[in-house]
Amino acid sequence: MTTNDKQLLAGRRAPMPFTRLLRVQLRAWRGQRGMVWLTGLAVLVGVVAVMFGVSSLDENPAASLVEEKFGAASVGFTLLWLAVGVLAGAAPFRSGWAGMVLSVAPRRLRWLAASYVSMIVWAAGTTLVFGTLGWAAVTAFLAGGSGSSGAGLGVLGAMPAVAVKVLIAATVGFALGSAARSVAIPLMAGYVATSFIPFLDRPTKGLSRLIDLDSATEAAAGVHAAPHGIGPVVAALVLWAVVPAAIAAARLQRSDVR
Amino acid sequence: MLNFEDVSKSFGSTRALEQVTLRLDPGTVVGLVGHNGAGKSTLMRTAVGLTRPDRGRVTVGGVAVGQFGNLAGLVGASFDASTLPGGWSALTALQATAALSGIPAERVREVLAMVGLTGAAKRRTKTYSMGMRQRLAIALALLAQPRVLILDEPTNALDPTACHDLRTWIRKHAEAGNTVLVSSHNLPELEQVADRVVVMQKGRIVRDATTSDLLTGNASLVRAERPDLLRDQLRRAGHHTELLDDGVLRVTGTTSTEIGRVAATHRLVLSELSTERRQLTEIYQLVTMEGTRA
Repeated sequence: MTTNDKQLLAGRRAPMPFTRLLRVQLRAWRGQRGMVWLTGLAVLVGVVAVMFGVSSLDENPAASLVEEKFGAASVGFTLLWLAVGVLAGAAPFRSGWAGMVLSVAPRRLRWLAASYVSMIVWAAGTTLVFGTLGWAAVTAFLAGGSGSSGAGLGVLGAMPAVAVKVLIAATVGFALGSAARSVAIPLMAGYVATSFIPFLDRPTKGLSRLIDLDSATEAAAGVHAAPHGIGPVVAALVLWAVVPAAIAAARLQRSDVR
Repeated sequence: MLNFEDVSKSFGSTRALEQVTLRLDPGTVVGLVGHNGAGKSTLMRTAVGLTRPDRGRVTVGGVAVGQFGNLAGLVGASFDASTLPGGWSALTALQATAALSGIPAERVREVLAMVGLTGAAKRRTKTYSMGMRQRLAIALALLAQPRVLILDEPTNALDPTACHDLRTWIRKHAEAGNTVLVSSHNLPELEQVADRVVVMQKGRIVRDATTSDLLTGNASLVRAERPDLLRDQLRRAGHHTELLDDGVLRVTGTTSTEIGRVAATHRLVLSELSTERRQLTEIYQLVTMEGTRA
């Protein structure tokens, strides 16, 4: 074995730099058309909804009213992040990218973590773009484009809640997608199953609130107070995000990667 | 450089690998052959950690593969070309892998040109033919110029020119002191490139020999002016002979020197005397048949 070989072997024991994995994952998202289209769709739906939402307002509304309208109109944008998250979690396994990257960077959990963080960075950047475009739309609609002090403050006030909702939706989507390594089942669970949970409140004598993701998200974002305390909020978030993430991690560690 | 030590792997009740021990030295090309499901791909995947053995260990330069955090430049692998991200272009796939491996962008252009995909680099790979995808998979494996190159059925869907090019790349890579493990069902191709051939069957290695040992038969082929006379003399000397259709005498159970001596003693002129060379396909069939019987 040559000196070069010995150096190569010694140098390759250290894990792949996390920032490099992160950069490569961001590049991967950019190269994946489904991800780009879905993100673009989320922004488009969000901005159009905001324009409709604020069109009924007076020329110079109070900031709190703008905040309320903007928050309500952002639902489409935040909802689509569940789908983006599912795609980000499942696509690497379906496309062969997971196998490609893990045959170079074999620390699996490190890659999964980088994949998640990169998606959150992607989501944060997009939310910033959405906030800016939303603010521009609101400003254009109010006061005939001459600007409104209430518009800027209202949008700014609504953005933290939007960001928290995006974070939760994307995290849940990513966890479900990477655990199932498919798209259809997580989407059914995230969109269809969650919408039936409120109807289970009476039959389950209130136990369903422990799995009510929508209420937990609203409470975590500070949109509505948590009427039954923080317990059900934490329980629902653990069930929808932490449990699937743990399953995804365990599955990735144990199974073969294609 | 690459060692498999007593490696076993099962998928449910199916034993994919059973106590496989194999040592691959630098500067050599090792061909892996076997029926579908013999365990070739599983064995290769353990070398990059995509499949984890139930027992035994796989090492590169004496270090267990599981202990590496970064295999760039150390092990490069190409598996099923059909599983490449279809929504990506070849350029995206190569650039992403180069960024991951810390390789300069010029190398991407170099491998694209090498595999003949420069013109199609920006097209989505789902529009590629299977042969183009195969070339991209090979480019991805060669990108970091790894010390150990693993190619799983790389000749699938390749045209004869691309097969020829692939042989050249493989030989060059090995001549630079690297180790190459290549599986293929294309035995005539493998015969031309491999220094050593390993035959697998039902997760086990049933034959491991140098290509020249495998292909060199134990018979001599003789072309003589009077083959009937030579045959009689060789028979008298106790050797088994057979006169083939083209007038060539096939002699077994003796050496070329002995045949030459008999011919000289009886003043018989020989125009050709060579050792019979068998084909890998023939050997493979024999070995796998023996394995099935066992």
